[in-house]
Amino acid sequence: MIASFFLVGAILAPLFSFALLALLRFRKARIGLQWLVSYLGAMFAWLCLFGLRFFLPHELAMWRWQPQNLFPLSPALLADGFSWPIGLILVSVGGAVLLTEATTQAEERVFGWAGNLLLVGLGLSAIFAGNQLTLLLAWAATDLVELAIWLSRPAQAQLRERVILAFSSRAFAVMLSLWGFGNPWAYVVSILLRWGVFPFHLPYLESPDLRRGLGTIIRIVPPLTTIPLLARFADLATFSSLEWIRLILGVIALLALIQWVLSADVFESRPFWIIGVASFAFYAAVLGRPEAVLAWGGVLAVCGSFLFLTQVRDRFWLLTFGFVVMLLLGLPFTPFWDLVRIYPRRWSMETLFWMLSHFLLIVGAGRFFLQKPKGAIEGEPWTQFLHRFALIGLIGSVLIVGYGGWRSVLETALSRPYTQGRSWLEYFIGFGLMGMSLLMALMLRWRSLPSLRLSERWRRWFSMEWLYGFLRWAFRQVGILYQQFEAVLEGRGGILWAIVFTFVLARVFLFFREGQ
Amino acid sequence: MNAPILWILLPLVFAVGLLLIARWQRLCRAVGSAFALLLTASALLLPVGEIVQLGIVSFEIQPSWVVLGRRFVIDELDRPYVLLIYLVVTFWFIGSLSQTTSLLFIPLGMALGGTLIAAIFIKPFYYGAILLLFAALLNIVWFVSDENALDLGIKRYWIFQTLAMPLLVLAGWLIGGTEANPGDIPAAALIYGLLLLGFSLLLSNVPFQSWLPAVAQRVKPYSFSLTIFLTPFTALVFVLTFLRQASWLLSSPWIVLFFSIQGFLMVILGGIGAIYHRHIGRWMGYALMKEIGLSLLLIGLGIGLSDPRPFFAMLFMQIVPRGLALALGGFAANLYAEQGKGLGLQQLVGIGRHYPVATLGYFLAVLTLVGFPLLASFPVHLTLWQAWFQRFPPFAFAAIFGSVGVLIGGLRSLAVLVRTVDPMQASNLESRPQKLLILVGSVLLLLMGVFPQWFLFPFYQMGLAFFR
Repeated sequence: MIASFFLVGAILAPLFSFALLALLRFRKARIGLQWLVSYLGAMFAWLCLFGLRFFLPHELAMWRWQPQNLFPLSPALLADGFSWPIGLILVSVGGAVLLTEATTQAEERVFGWAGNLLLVGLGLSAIFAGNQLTLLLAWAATDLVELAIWLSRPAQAQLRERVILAFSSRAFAVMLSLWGFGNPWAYVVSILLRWGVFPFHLPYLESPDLRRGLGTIIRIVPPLTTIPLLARFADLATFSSLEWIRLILGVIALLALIQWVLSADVFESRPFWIIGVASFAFYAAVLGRPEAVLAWGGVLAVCGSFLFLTQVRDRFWLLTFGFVVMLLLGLPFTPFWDLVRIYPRRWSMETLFWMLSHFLLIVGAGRFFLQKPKGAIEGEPWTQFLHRFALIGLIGSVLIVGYGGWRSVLETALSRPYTQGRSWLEYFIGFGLMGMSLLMALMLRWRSLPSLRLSERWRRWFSMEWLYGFLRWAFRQVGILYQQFEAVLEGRGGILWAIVFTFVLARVFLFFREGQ
Repeated sequence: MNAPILWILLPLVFAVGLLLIARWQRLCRAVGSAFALLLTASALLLPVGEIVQLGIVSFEIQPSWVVLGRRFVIDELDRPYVLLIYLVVTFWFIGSLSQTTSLLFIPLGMALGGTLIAAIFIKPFYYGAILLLFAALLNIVWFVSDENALDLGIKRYWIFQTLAMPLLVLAGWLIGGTEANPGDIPAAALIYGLLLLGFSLLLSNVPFQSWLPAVAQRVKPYSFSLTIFLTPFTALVFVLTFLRQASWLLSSPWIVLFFSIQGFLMVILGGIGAIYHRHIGRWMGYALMKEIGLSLLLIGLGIGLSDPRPFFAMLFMQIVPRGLALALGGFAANLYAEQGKGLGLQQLVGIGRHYPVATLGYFLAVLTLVGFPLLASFPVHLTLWQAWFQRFPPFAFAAIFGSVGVLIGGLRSLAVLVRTVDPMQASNLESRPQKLLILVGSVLLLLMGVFPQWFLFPFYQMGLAFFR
């Protein structure tokens, strides 16, 4: 009963808070009160999730869809070792966004708080989805909120076109995942589409107005909701037969992380971070390492939030920087040490390939952390305090997840005991990557390396604009063809053409029938 | 009291009466809505073939009525269909209270309801084809009254429906003869030929679907949404009634092949057409093509099974969300048409900002027609996609493609509707009743999608009873 209260409370608190916020906005209440309501909602959700830790695993059937012969699944929630850590991290990121958003001067910050609460609430329902049906419903709800956010903003026609394309590809992903039972590749495509691998995070690349708070959560929620699912697949070794995914994931990770390193600023690079890190999580799922999936999921949300939310560079910044680097490297005994479990005992080209991607991830993170932030916190001292409090809260949540019984939490979901033994590589790979990164930094400092800038031609190639150009052309050609076909049928000779097509169709029927 | 007289003759006579007061539009709509509501209530509450006690009055509603040697039979288990038809008519009529519609909307809508019920319950069954042609003629009068001209698309609709009637009547007559001797192969081949061609024409299947977007572009969307919703649904039920007359037809691989391939083609063509549309009316036409295709795929799943009833019953479950979505979409489009110069996308830039609630309704209608999760038609789409994935994945992909096509088309319209021209000038032009109706419809769509056990399951049970 208490566990159900915590589980439902965690999901509903941000949603109720959103509803209350909308009401307060309608009644033109003071902005401080609006912020307080938002923050209390997030805080309550966090407390519920913290309480839920002591009742894992917990399953909650909500209501039964009927007729049961047509709908074998009904909405249900499941809190276990795969969903709880990601859920807590998401709420912490949401809370951090609320705190840092309060310090911005943007006029539309209430809009940001509302969007943040909705996305966190719906993201939690996807993370704690107890079955495929619940996951689809939650994914769909998240997509709808995202679409509403995009369409409600003034934008150019081209951006709207991209928003439509991105939403449609997500809808296709949702529908395709229905084939997932017994067809793991359907899930592969579905998850990749959900991340925005194709079309490559189209709307997000040209959205300068969505920069920090809401812009961060809107990008983090969709991939984060796939992490518990990936962990379950990893546990069941669902992808073990699909060797070819490793190659695709490797290419996606490398391309994304090259772009990540080469991007001009941290906001431009955000989609590449998401896709790059999420590829590591997927790779871990293919290897059948659920603990690594969760660790990479944590890195995706936590390190990403630090990178995208930090607005000042002060003494406190050094602590944050050190913490992020430590998490990213996967140093021994750090909260997300399990992320290095993707590196097997024996060396291979594949290991080197992924190490290179990992290295690029760290280089990019270091680069953006050292860049002078474009924004700055202005105003009263409390704004500084809130900003720091947000980051401390995030660090605290990571410590709770990492040191608050990582293994025992995981074992509530794992189908086999948690693997305690580690290869020597897992102890040293983090240090190796750190050494390589320092060397690279020093070489750049001494100008021993050529500039990281790519030529315009390569840049265009990596941006995949050539592919989209081709697809746009193909889209128009198909449209022209279809319109001609339609003009024939709707024109004056339409009935004659209908008779001709009837004969063709009859022949097709006969052909199929003859072939049984 | 007699069920066919109550639910067929009385509405037809009343439709003539409504025609006489059609000039006084408000009165006509109010009276029509009230009468439709009464018919719905009677279909819901009055059992057929049982004695009904109303205070001191007791009476029995007889199931059968004989006219010119033909019988109309509405049994107790047929009531769900009657209820569904009048529920839809009532819903549209109530919606028309806050809309500008043509003078003939109410009288023709009432007559259409009565005719479509008659088409299903006439014996011998194949006379239903003649009544369906009569319903098509009513539709044509409706379309012409909306447009004040006989468009090429309307003519085509007329021709196709007229051609369907003799083919089906002849096929029905032949089925009666072959049933005694199913091994009569030459006659069976003729029956198949007549039947499949007749079905294609009646159900506006490929290549006879071209009238749908063409008419949708010309006619007022609200009235069009009622006709294109009711007529194809009844045609589908009629086709199933036809097939159930001979058991060898229901298990025939030709019939399975017909429904599956036609369903495949319809969802594909509907999807492609919707992607490239430049007119909201046409988009509705394509969306309906996709929906007809989906119904055909649903029937294709059922035919050949030892108990096809669950899939046939799903037609009843599918029809409610579709009807609500078309009503909402048509309602919103009618409002846009009143404000703008037409329903072409270029004429609708930013209009959605004057009608925020209608645009919300339109958006939910788009998502419902697509089968998007959380919306009313998702449970039906879910079952259909999963069943086809198990049986023959290309058809499932086609169904998904059709949905995504309709989604892209709908979102393209939406993006144009909400495009900001000058946010300061965006005044709200919706009246309170309009907002209320759209909000009720929208909430229903959401509730049906999340709680199908409360809102859709009863219709499934009605379907099971009807296809007993």
